[in-house]
Amino acid sequence: MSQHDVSMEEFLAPISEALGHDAVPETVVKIDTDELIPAHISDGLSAEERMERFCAEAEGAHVNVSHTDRAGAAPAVADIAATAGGSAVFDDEPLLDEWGVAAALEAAAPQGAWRWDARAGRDACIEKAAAAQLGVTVADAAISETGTILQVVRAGHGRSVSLLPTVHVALVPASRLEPSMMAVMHAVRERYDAMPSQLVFVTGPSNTADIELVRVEGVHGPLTVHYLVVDDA
Amino acid sequence: MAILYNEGTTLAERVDACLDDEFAHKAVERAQDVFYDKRNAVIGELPNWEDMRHAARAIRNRVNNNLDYYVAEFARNATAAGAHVHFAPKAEDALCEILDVFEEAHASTCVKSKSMMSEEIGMNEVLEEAGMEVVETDCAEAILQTAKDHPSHIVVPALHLDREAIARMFHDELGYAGSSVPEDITRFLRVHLREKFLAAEVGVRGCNFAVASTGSTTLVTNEGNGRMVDTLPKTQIVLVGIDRIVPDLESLDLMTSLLVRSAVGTKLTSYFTVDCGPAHEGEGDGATDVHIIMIDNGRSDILGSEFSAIERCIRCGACLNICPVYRHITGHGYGSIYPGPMGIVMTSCLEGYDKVDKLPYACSLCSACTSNCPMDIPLHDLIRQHRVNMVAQGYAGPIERRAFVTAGKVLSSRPLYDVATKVAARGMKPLAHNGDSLGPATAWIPVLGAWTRNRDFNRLADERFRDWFKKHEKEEGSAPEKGKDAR
Repeated sequence: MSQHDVSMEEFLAPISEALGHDAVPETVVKIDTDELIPAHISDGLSAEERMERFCAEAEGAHVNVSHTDRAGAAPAVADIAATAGGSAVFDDEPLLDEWGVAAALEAAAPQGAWRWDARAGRDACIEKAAAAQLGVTVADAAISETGTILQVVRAGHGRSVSLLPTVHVALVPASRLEPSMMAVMHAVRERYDAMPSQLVFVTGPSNTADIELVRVEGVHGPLTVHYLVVDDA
Repeated sequence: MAILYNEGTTLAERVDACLDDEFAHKAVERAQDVFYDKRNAVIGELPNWEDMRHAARAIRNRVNNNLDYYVAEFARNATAAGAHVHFAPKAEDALCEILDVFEEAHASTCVKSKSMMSEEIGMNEVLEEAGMEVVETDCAEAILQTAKDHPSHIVVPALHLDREAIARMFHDELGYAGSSVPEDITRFLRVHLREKFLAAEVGVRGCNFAVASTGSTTLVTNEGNGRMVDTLPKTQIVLVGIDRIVPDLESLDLMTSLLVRSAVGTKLTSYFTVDCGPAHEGEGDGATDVHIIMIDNGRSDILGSEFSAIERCIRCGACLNICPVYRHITGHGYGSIYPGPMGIVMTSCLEGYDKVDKLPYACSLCSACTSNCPMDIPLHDLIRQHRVNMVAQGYAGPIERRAFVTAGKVLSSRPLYDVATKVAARGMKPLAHNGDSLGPATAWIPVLGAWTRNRDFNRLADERFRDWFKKHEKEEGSAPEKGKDAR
């Protein structure tokens, strides 16, 4: 269809010309973003203050926040599953077994719970998540500054789990709370050799104000979001 | 639709039409007030907003000053992550690449999340002409697509339509049977679009920031439609302007903070996604085939011009939300998909003075946009620069040219100036409606009427300042020393 594919060199030539470069520079002085970006409010807070701020920010973003310990995680999720009704889908994540959440979900979700299993095939995965009332995930990190959680996409955690069901419950291990997105990005760099296919930062339920600026909660993602902060110290 | 719409109309005709649209007017006023308050609240709690702006300006400038290097770095890393990177110098090249992807994927349906770039290159019309189904999934864009209307704001594009009209239109076009309550309409869209998401073969999306060091593309969204677009269809097309690049993951912290606070007055949107290549082997969803289209479309020309600062723009809309002219002539007055102050600068650069009529004059040079801009872009200076260029290149109208020639003569000649101001003060007196100003009653007078139809024009004082000053000097008996400040 196109006359010819434009090569990168052809594409870059006018940019170089506009910048007065004879050629594309081979190296440039590194931009030290860590140095340039000003400090965050949460940087100076104690661990308790950070948690307080995380919860307050999340509530401000219309998240239902509750606290529990390892033993309390399973009954808390079972409660939400029973109220949500229908079926559930959950991350294939060791912590959910360790804390007994997986077993509790299977017992409590009225129409059963399905462990995310990419081997079942793409269509089956999406179908299960689309049919579920409830999606249960474990947050990979949390951000105090904005009340945000991070979900790192991988085989055991699909994008759909926190997206397609009507209700999303994220278990947030307290030890994973970071002050800022900056700190989370540092952690991501350290933890992964290759970038994960997707980092999803979630801050509350999907919403819109596109009609006369009236806020409506729940558009294409979940209508309701719960953070269950688990004290895992 | 490309950048300009209603091309057959003049700026004055569009402004006239918009001034008569009472609902759009009120909607813009309310939006500006709401966004202004919300933005101020989330910025007010930060101790270092100005430092953040300056840091962002520095980062964006340093990327743009070596943009050839950073585009190459981004493309290399995106390719290494498994994405196909295509290069489109012009809109037509981008459209060809997009059609090629559809052909290769044997696809005829796509879902789309809001992308100003897709509007800029006129993607929907071209795909539809080629027989593809294009479904806009952003709530406002879905409304505009169904209404066959143009965006009036870059963040909330359907601002100018009221709920009754929206409900009626969805009833007529899509069989919606519910009420005009926004929540009911939104629920209807959720169900209606869910089917489209699940069935679509291709997802088309824009990109807020492209990360050079990882080859990642990012998306800021509240509705979740952006996530649906990059979760469900197997093939994904990402449109990336070359002016979207940031150096590394860490800079996203600052950029999202500035963007979201400035755009919608919250700290972060419901979703912020950072994508890198296609879904990995063994993952259960996400696109398996990702095509990134890098688009120049006039941006490299801007880079080498006196307007290069506009390349820092992150499309937050903060300049629209504070602009007194936007408030009155509303989005459609500009006749461009990029309205408001950033729109005047961008549109004039990308389309050329031949096509934009008097667009750079739709500005009072009050500089509120500049002080509101999170990237510290001197917007009003750039608009003024467009005017300077237009006059220098002969685009000023004959009346204006004559007026300025006359003004130049009068202002540079003391006797002429004296006569003119004395005569004007007397001449205006009988026209004044309440003693000191000329109101709507003078709207019949050519030239003057263009001003007084909508606002008052202060009458020149009976006593000129220079006469008053002379008298005052005599009374006080102490003339200030020549050349020295009297204070």
